[in-house]
Amino acid sequence: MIENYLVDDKSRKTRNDISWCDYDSMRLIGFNRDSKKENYFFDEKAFKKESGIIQLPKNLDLEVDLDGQIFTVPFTLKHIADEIEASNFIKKLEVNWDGENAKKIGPNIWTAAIKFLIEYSIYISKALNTIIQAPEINPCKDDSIDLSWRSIKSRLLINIRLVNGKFIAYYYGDNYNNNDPIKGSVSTETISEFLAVWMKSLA
Amino acid sequence: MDEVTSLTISPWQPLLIGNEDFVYRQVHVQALLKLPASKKRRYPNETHFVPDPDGLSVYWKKQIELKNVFITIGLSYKFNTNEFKDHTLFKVFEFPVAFIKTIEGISQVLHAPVFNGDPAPVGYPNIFSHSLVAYENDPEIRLKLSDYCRDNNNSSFCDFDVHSIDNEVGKLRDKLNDTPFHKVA
Repeated sequence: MIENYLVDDKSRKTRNDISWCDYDSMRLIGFNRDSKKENYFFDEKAFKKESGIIQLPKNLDLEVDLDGQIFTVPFTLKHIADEIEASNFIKKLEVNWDGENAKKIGPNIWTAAIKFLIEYSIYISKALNTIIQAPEINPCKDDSIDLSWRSIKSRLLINIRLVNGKFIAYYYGDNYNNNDPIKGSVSTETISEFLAVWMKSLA
Repeated sequence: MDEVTSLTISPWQPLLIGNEDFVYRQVHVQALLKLPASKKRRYPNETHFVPDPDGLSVYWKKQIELKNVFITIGLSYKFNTNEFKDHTLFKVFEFPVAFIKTIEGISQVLHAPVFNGDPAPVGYPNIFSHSLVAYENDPEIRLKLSDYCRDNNNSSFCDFDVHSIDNEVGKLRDKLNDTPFHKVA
């Protein structure tokens, strides 16, 4: 069900009683009026538009397949699901993909990074009532993956790599000009409340 | 007929790079080419600053013309192949050494001339200006190097018509290693 995650852009509150949002909110979450031209699955005719408010069906959750492991992503995080879809090319990169001896990105690294992104995005959405922006998902030549955000308020880089058999997320973020920096590392296995709360500034 | 002999010991001694100096960093676009066209990417991004074990390779500006940075790239083989790099797929950004040294975790900017022989083998030109920014893979350092280019685009991005040297690169490749980039003057 998606209604708990839809955000009224004017009040910035989630609505639990009805699944709705206005066009501005729709654009915020990655949908736009030209959706049909871009072959989104979303059919605008399916929605009833009343005074700028459109009714959403209640079964628009998205499924992301991580090598057989299915994750359900709320429609409000469609922009993140889109970025994940686009990042599939990373799994197909061969050794020396940059011409400068880059390592092949192991499929487990990609899966760990995407799982990390999904779990934090959903947690921040559900528990902290915030829809964060989609990061750039980029491969690094040392067989690690970067998740990189730039919001109006903050910037954050999370680098996920395999260290001693465990996936670790190394991060640095600040509110630009080195203000309020955070830096550290966390396991990808659990959600760090500290990091998740800070990531609210990536909305 | 004189026999060409290859030197194995570098005739070059590293020099001291000062805080007032600048370095060039070359970044490639290959990874971006594999993305869907609809996905815009910041350029450069943090992945372009992942260091090798000995540091991040740069060129000491004082010791090389910008044009020759691109020529050197075009005369170099892709790793472990006999295929030349495409110099048109690279862009170059300039960094003040003084800025680089303000980033916590960067220990040194070192002159590390690359000497592959006299003459150097085809695909492995000598690069006197080659230098290293010494640091380990650290998200703070990579983020700040990346954002420096965005925040200082006018002074950092080296606007150069890469196609203006296509013919020159082609002719130099035809000369194999009989070029100034392979021989020590």
